[in-house]
Amino acid sequence: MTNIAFRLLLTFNATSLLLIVFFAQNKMDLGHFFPSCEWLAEVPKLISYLAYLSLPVLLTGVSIWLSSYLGSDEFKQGDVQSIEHANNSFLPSYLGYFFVAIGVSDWTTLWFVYVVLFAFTFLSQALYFNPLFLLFGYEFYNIKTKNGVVVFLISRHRYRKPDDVCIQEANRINNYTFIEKN
Amino acid sequence: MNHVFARVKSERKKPFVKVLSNHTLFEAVNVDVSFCVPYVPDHNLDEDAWFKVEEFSQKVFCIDLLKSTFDSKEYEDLKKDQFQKISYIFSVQGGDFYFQKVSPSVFISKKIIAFGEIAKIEESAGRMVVNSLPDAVYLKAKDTLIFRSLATVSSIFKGIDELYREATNEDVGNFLDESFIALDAGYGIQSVSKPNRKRIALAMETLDSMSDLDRQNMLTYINGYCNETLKLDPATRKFTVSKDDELKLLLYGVEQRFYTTPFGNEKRIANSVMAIK
Repeated sequence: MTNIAFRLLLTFNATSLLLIVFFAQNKMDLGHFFPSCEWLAEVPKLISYLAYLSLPVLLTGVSIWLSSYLGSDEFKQGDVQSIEHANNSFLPSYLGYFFVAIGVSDWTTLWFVYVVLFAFTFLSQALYFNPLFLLFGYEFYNIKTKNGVVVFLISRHRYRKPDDVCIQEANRINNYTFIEKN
Repeated sequence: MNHVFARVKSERKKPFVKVLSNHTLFEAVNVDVSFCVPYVPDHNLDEDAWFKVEEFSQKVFCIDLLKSTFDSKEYEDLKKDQFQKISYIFSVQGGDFYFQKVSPSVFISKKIIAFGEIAKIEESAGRMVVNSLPDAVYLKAKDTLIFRSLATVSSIFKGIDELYREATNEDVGNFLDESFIALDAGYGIQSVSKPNRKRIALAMETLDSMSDLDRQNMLTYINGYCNETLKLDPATRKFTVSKDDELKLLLYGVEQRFYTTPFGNEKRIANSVMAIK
């Protein structure tokens, strides 16, 4: 149960940029959402958008903090057969979010597209690629273990060689995704 | 880092799943493998002793998981619906594997009064009792499996019961036909008990390795200890067996389990023996 809640949070963080792009595209600032607060109308739009952005950034921070309560595994020296830096391979798919959001013009379309995207991201299991992790200094790696199992590792360390990967405690987000907190 | 895993019944593709992270389930079993008893069906194990199977990874009944490098990351988490289908759990502790068989009796669903700050009732559903001692331990560095009951571990290591030997009706018949045995009218193959069948399986091997002279001396040896309970006909050189207990004594004799203490000259039977290396 807690695991599902955690994964919902990660999915929200990963997909929330779509909403932010939509709000920016349609010039919906904070004054638009809270018409009763008149002073909000005075606030520059850019500040509004940054405020929107701060929410998923904050939640991403929370999710990183929460991840230490997940089950853990270790990466022993020699466990890893090959390692591949995965930061860049996700950018194209992530850019897709932006183009979709720019193309969406009304609320109904937005919710429909968002729900579909949310469901697929949640169910895709393999990874919750969230570029906001990059802001926290995390890197993404595809790792193949000695017995040929491929896992996805999120870590602050800059790994280059398979032998570099030696982790005391890596938390398990799902069966394919691990995060090294320290 | 120590983890706990489980084997799930009816999962063909991924039978092993991870149950707990970073937890040491069993207290470490510190045994000197050289003091463990190589498995023999009729051995009565001391309370603190373990049977052992050496070179375990070479055996056909070894599970594949123990043969390769174990990596916890390769195992998925246990799902809720798999809980009732666990057939055994194992805890990986410092490279060794501690096994516990999971039978329906280790699941509890009872009302429990729990004492904390104040007493409260707990409806325990879906709980599993962990025994204080594991049923088997695989000592990876020594490639040795230790266990206490073959019947318990035979559901974990399929085929390990090949270590168990019990004489078939045919073997029992052959043994009772030996030249030094005369059966009483009421006693036959069907009357031989299960423990004696185990002993017969072992005694047959002992007899096969004996010379004719040893066999003759064996009869005198047995008669020396059992002349009150077992009747030896001096003319035919046959012991008369009329009861299971008499057969047991005779089998002990074949295994040379009668001895006299060097100090005090007390005559004794060893109900379990072990070779001193």
